[in-house]
Amino acid sequence: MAYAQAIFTNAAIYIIATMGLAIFTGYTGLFSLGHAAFMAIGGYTAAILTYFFKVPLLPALIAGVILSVLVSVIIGYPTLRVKLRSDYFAIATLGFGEAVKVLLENLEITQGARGLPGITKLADPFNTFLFMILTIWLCRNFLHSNYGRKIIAIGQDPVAAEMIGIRLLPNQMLSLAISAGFAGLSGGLLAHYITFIQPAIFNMDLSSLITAGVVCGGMGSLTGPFVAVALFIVIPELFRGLALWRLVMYGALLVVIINFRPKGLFGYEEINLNNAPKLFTIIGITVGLTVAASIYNEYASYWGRFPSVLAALAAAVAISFIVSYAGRWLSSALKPFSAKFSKSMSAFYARYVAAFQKAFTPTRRLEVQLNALKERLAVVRLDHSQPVLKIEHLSKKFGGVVAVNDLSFEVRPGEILGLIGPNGSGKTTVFNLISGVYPIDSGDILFEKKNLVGQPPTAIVLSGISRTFQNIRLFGSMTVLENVQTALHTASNYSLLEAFIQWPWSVNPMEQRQREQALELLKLVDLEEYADRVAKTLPYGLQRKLEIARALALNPRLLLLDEPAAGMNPKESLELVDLIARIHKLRNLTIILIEHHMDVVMNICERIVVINFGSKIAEGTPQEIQCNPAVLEAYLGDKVEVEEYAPLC
Amino acid sequence: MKSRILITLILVAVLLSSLLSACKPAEPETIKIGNLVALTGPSATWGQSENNALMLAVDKINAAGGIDGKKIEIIAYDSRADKLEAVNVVKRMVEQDKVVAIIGPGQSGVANAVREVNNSAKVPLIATTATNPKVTVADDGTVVPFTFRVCFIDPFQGTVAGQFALKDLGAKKAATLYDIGDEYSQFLSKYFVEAFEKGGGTITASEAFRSGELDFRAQLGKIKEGNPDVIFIPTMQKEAALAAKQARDLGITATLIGGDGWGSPDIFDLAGPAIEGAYFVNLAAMEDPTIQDFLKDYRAKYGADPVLPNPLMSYDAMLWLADAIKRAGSTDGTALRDALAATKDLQVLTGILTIDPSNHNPLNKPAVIQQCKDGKFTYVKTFVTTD
Amino acid sequence: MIFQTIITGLSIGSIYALMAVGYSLVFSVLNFSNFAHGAVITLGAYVAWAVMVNIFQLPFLPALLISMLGAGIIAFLVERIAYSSLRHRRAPSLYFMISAMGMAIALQNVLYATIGANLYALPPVFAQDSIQLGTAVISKMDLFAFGFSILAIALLTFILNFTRVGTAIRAASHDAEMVSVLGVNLDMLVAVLFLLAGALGGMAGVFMGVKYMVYPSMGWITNKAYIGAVIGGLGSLPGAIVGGILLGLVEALISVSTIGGVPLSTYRDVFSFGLLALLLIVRPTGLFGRHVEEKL
Repeated sequence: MAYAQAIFTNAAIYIIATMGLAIFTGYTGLFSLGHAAFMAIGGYTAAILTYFFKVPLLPALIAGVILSVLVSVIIGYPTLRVKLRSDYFAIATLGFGEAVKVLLENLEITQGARGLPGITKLADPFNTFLFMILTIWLCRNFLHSNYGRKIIAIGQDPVAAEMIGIRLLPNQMLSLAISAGFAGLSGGLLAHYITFIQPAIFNMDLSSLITAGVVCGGMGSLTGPFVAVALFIVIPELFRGLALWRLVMYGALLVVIINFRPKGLFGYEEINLNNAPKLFTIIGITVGLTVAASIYNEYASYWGRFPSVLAALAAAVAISFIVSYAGRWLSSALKPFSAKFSKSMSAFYARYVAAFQKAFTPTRRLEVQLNALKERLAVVRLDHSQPVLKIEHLSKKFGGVVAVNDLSFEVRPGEILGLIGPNGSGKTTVFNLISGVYPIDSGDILFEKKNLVGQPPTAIVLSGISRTFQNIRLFGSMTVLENVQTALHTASNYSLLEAFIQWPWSVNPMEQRQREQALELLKLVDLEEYADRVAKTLPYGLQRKLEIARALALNPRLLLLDEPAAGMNPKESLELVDLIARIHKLRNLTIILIEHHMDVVMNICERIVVINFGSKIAEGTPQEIQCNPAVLEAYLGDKVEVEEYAPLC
Repeated sequence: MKSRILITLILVAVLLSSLLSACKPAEPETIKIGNLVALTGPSATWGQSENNALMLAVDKINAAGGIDGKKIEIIAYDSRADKLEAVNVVKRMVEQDKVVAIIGPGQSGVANAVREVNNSAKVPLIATTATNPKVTVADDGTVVPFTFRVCFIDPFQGTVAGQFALKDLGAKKAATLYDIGDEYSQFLSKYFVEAFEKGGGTITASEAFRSGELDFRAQLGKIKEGNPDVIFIPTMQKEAALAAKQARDLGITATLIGGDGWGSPDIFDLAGPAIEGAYFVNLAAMEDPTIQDFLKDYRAKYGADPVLPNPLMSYDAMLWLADAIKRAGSTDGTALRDALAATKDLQVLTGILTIDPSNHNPLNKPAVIQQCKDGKFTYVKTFVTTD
Repeated sequence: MIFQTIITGLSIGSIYALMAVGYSLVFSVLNFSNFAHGAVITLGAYVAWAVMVNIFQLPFLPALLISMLGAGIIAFLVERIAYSSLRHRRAPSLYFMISAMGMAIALQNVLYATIGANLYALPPVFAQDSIQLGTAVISKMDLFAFGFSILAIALLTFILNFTRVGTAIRAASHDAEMVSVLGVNLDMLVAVLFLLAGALGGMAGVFMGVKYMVYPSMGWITNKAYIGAVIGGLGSLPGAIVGGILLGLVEALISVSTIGGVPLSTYRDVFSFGLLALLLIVRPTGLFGRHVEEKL
């Protein structure tokens, strides 16, 4: 029993590091081969404190966590700032890991290769387990907060995240810091559990173990990596008798999981009663293999190799099935109880929150924040004295190709301006320049008299310009509601600490209000019935609408719609015209619309700008544009019968 | 439908398990002894021999009726010479397999790593070739209660190497090349430097490399500048062979000296002629007349020569342990510990064993100087004490 | 001494370069880092050991060719097992890295479990290995390996520039999708790519075996080569060569330097990784890397 305890304590220690890494790698998609170094920093700090200075365990662990967080900020800032691609980031972290090891080998206080032997055994199965539970709780809370949603959004689509005002660098650094902090905690516990610490422990194998746990367990999940790491620790232990082949199996397991379960065991989902059978199948196979291994070990010498292999395999299959079916039965049997249980739990929770309502509610702050949220749906007050957006002599080249050439036009308050032109004429590039995705070569973009040139995309968004994308860019694995809610992040906020402990008296009302607000926006685009659907499962047309709702959540004064009717049938595009007209009127929005469906453009645009090869070739009312020979030539080639294609003139 | 499948499966399982328990042979009570050994990984050449020799000793004891009628059962697990792995292995031995004592490991780092596990479980451990002094004596100078060893310690080994270089080779200047990631290597280098300087020699360079590296030419180039008479390379045979080859390539003619990590015969294949003429300190030599019977038995059973010195150490450890169990009259950890510590003038394979209870080290363990000559290790000289 | 150090650095660097080319070649087309390259190199060295020492006693050159072929086939199999389905699914590069890692762990431990942890040496190519060059010494094997590496890379450049399949590979490195639309069998192309990368890896493995030794975890050294490839800019062959040699030189020079009397040799890796970090911050795509802007 004590031996099993030891294995599970081991697993718990690695799970703590893995949970942290799940928040980083699992959501940002960046691959770290150096997290063992954070474990080393946390471990050494804590160990030195308890070893030389006789500090108690908890403050020592906290000091280790703080130091790893600091180091992560120092190395995270330069590497994340330059947006290294994931392979480069991996090698940079590998280098960091080795560099930390070299320092530990050379420093006086860490006692070189020998490390610190004979650390007092302050971590035991009990407190390690508590720390693991705490870690899981904190990580879960974090992910269900504004902060967590921002990181999830970045992981799903960094470009779209920036376009709803989420700054990549600080948020990625935050998630790296969190992962480093938990790695530090894990290292501290490890040192005080195995009672020695040496540089050699924190090698690349350790880093890759926890990274593999995150990826095989499932990106975007906490429970998945939990199961995966538990398996990685427990299974090799079960197969100790197989000596080296078990490492071959571990390697093969990684290849098999990645190839046959592309999303890992539980990608983008958490374990619950609905997918519990999967968990039980995994447990079943594990138990089956365990029994098989012990049967083989016990009887190989007695029955001979071959019969005992057969018996072991038979037992493995049988037991896997039994456990898996039993689990299935159990989870379906538990379902009604679980519903009842969670109902009574939430009732209890509500009572407990209410009991301390008066004492703990930060009334003032909450009020300010909630009001700020409300303003999110306010009607834009138009200032008719000046254009909303003024583009002057805008140019952009990609290599030798001129995408936008000396383009000037303005957008008047409250109008819907159509931006049209043949394929490849540079329409989307204009949007990308306005929203700051690409740097501008020359020219000016004035938004309400303020020059946007040189501003980062997030600042442009927050100043009041939001957009949609030609190829839909939603946060696919989030629900419809969360997609919109994420975009409300700037309006109200609570502190990171409140997010981590999910402080009910400030977090709950704000989350509640955000959800209501998001629902209202969904109602606006007729999506409220789909609020709980996962965004990527929506039909195409509805995804477009969701993108518009998300853009509206930022309370823009100028909305850039990039081909909202692309891929829609005539009926859907008519509905869309309706929707755009409705929100335009309701919110007093100014809109620029790129569109290929001419019926849509002609229907709702008050004015139209036509560009070709990056230059403006015409500007005017739909009527004027339809009769403009330059436009027809651009669209249809030079020798066309104008009457045939433009019957309205 | 589903429940029927479930019931069938449960029935099958119950049948199967009852079948299994019926077939299970009744096993007589044995004395379980763990063997923590590097069967794979970089130290495997010694580890395999160590385990083989241990089995030879056990066979002999069991053939003679065991200890007080009980047979000895060896439970060997591979440590890969990896510290974390070893911790798990020892946990398994003491918790799951309930061994009464552990023989091994051969690596100081591993012995230090598992110290807490076997000591808190009060299971005596006899390290075979873990020569670092801290294995049996903690930092505060107290003896580690349940850890013993059968080999000499590194300060002795380093001093022997230093004195041999000074007196027998007449060296005035020496350099060292060691692995900074390995405590054995680092400390042995330090002890050599101390002894060599104390004896009036000069250290021209003390260069280090990191574990796993293969090319030491940059460091050797620096060593060459000082033009030393000898270069001390306290590493395993792998790094020693590489360093020897690269040193000779660079035109370094200094005599190479090593520690007990060199004694694997594959060093000749790996280093080729570069290792010719080099000396190293070992715990035993094949020429030792007292071990000839053992060698005969070993060859008869395994068809090959053992890789010294680990098999001699594990053999001795087993004889020592068997004697202690007999004297203690029980396999209780504390009683066994006391009996092990009180060992005096016990005849083991390599000589007479007496344990110093203040540090759990054997007294007067000789060190043998061997030379790499014509593809073989040849005996040069024995040191029993140093001055 | 500085001259000697530079020679040493070049010699280490040229091995890095040979391995780095394998990384860059695969990266240039498939846009991921083949972390199983180290295992392929190791297996290549074992093939050489088998045909030169263990089973047959073939002379060096035929053994080298057989090892290159063997390593090429192994690399091809690795691709089939670990990458091809990911490739068809267009999985993110993170998945390739994990799959590669799993493959590397499995292959290395297959060696441990079957052949064992023993160290083996490949027979030397030259009986008398060093040539005196003023105060410095240069190893014949180094010169030989250097020459052979240049020959191999020249041959590779020829294949890439003057053969149909080479042209297709270069085209695919710009736009793999387009090439497959044009009717080139991408699977075949990838197979050729891995054969070439594997063959170069096998060559590096054999040289390592002769210069150092053969053992299951020798692939560890490829981490350094990979850093060389990153410094040069992944995906660029000249970059890989320059990056590998640069890293070798820096390592050798740092090993013999001191700061305020403290020798830097034990801090060497801090400096090489520091160099890498600095370079990535200044030039996130490496010395010769291409920058690709994402299309929205």
